[in-house]
Amino acid sequence: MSKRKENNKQIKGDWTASISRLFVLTKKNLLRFWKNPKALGFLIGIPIMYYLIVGLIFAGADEGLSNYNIGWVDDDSTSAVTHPQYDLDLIYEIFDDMDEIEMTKYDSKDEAIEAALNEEIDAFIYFPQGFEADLEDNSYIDIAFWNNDTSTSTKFNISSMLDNLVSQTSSFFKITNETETDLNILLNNFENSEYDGILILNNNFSKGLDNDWDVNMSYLYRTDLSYAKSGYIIGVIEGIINSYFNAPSYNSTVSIPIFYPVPGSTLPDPVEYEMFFLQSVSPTTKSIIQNLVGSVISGIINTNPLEIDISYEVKSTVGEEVNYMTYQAPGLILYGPMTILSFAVIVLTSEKKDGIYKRLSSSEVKNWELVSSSILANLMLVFMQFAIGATILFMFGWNPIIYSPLDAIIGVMIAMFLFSFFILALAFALTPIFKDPDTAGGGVWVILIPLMMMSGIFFPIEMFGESMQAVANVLPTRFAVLILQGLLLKGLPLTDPSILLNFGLLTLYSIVIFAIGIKAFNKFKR
Amino acid sequence: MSKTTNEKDDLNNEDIAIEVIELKKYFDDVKAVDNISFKVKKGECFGFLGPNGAGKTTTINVIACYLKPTDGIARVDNFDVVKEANEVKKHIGICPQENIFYDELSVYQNLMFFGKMYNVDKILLKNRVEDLIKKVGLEEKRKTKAEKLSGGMKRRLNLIIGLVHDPDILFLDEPTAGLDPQTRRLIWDYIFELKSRNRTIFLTTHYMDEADILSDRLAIIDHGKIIAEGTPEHLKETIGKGDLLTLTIEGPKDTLLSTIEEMKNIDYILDAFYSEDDMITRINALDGLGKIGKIIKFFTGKELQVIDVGVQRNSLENVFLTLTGRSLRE
Repeated sequence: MSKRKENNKQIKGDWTASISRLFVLTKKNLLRFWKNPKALGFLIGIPIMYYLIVGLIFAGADEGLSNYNIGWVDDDSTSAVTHPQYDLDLIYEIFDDMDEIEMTKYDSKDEAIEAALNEEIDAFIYFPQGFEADLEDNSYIDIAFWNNDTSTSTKFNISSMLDNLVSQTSSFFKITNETETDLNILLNNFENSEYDGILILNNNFSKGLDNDWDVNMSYLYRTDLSYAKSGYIIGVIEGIINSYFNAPSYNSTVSIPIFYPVPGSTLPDPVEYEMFFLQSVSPTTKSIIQNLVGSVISGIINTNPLEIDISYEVKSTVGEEVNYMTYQAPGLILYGPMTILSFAVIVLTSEKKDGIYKRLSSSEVKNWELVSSSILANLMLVFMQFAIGATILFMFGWNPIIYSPLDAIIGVMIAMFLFSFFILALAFALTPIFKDPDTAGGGVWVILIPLMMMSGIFFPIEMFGESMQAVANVLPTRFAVLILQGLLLKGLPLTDPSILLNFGLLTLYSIVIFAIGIKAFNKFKR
Repeated sequence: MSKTTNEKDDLNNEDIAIEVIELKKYFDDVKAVDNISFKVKKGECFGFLGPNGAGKTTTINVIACYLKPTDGIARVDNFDVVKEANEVKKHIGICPQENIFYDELSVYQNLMFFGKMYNVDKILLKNRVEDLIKKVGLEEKRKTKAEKLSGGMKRRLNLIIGLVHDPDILFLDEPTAGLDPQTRRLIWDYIFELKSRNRTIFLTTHYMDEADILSDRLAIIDHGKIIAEGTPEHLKETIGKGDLLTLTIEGPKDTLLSTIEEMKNIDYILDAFYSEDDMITRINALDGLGKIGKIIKFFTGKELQVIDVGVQRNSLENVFLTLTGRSLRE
């Protein structure tokens, strides 16, 4: 065999050996997985459970949208006489008939804020004075007419044509003859004028009519007024003028083929109303209500392409509006202690597997010392996680809404302690079930996923169906979320009855699980 | 097989480190330990031998307070392992069969940790840890994570963790299993040193030479029962194939053969035969070395002349095989 061949054989040999090792390792891993029914169950079961829970949550969301409570404050004494669809009482009736929401009228903004703070409503809509009048004003397209025609017609009266146009379009256009104004001045001041467009009668228009020529006008529209809307306006005007001239002796066609946007022109301010939300309402709920209310109001008022630009301002019932991070932070803080569950169970099962407990059993160490040290060590980890997590959340804009710094600090510390204690108690209870660290690593997620996903940490439980909400409301993680939301989002004092109730429930849960956990763990440890 | 004893019943309470009386430990229907009794003297190395599953580790686990006995009594330094477990724990140290320590901690950290678990004074502990590290040759590895140690080093660490609180009684469960001869010898030396410091050692091992060299007395357990107990010498003298004597004898062949046949009737002679190939007479005799004078006299009394004698001593392995029908590794 040549040297080259020998080398090739060597290379091939290494590769073969590597592939062989790879195969053996893969087979060994598969065998280990296959031979461990629990690992098999967890690795397949967890994804199934994940999808089931997500499915249940979001499937329930369709049913659950019926529970939004929305307040209504109408401070407007004006009325839209020519447009009945702008009547706020009528709009309220339409909302009230909707299954998705529960409407309540309030006499004043303060009354509605009070109701929101008492959590009687999720949000309220506020219509300021002059709302209907503004709608009325904004319901017209203001058009300036400017006659640039120096020719005259022997057969047609242009003035009559204009009168007819004004009369025919009076319910949606306001056409004003601005021929007396200098066109340049009119165009230069367009930005500050009330006009949405300028209709110009081009030169020789009258002459053309007399000679049966096709004639045209020009329409200059606002830059930011939509092309489609302008097209609609032109179409209406064209139709009315052609109809006016429609006679056996008339063979001309009037068209307004070219659009010119007027540079620099802007739209007038939109008609505004306000939507108020409690700070603790989730961003998702907020978004759903905004879209629902906004689209319904806009849909009722704007029934044709000449739509009124209507908008709402989102406000908070108390203080500044909360950002997403501030809303989400109380839940995110709990993520750290929850991950401790997995860590704690893996450590406990590893120590058993490695014989540490057996070795320590011949020392003077007591069971309670082992348990307490595990709890203490993990609590330290939790508080370290909390410090790091809180710092990061602050960096990302967390702005907790608190009653007082003392209430917040003490309350959060107690809540974190209780919740971590519950999680560690759960770890002791789960350790004998999982027995070995490999199984525990995946297995704890069977418990963690529902605790996380259904507690309101990631998804507001208002999105859930009623049955899932009922389950979520008895989860210990939910109590912890409510405590932290109360202290850090709603600005409640530590002594608030809702906070104390949730502290009590979480404590009760922790004690029960701890008692079960320690009994099971001590048996397992032996 | 009847139990062999020697001198164990003559002990005073003060001399006894471990006393086990009619001890039973059952796991459901399995009789892991079935009514065993033995005593271990203070300062002796007591070998506890038996095939796999014989009940050795269960016995240690009961004496070390890890398992509660089903019945019977076990005392360590006169403290009952059930009622006075905390006192017992103060007097014992365990070197388990498996390496049990924290892989993530260094040699020094592991020793300090386990020492602290026995409430050893900090300064005393520090000095003792340094001393132990030095004695087993781990000075250069004191800061090395346990997981990074070689197999032999891990065994050494495992051993000295059991000694970090300087116990009076040390349970060594297979202390040299799987080690190279050099490390075995190092551990043996350390065990000898412990013996010289009057520490009681309860040793289980698979190695017969180890049991033979280290044990002052030993017991053999099988199927949960003690089937023999005594000093290695005594067991070798009384149980097994006996010592093998190889004799070169001159004289009439007929006389030699008839003498050999006659010899087979002697109680301590287990077997005797003459080999035509090398013309040597082979005799298996219990305590053959001690009886060699009598044997030579038996031949010379028959007008035969013994011109050369060789002795191959009986081994513990033979004793064990004879008693259990299995080798230790089965």
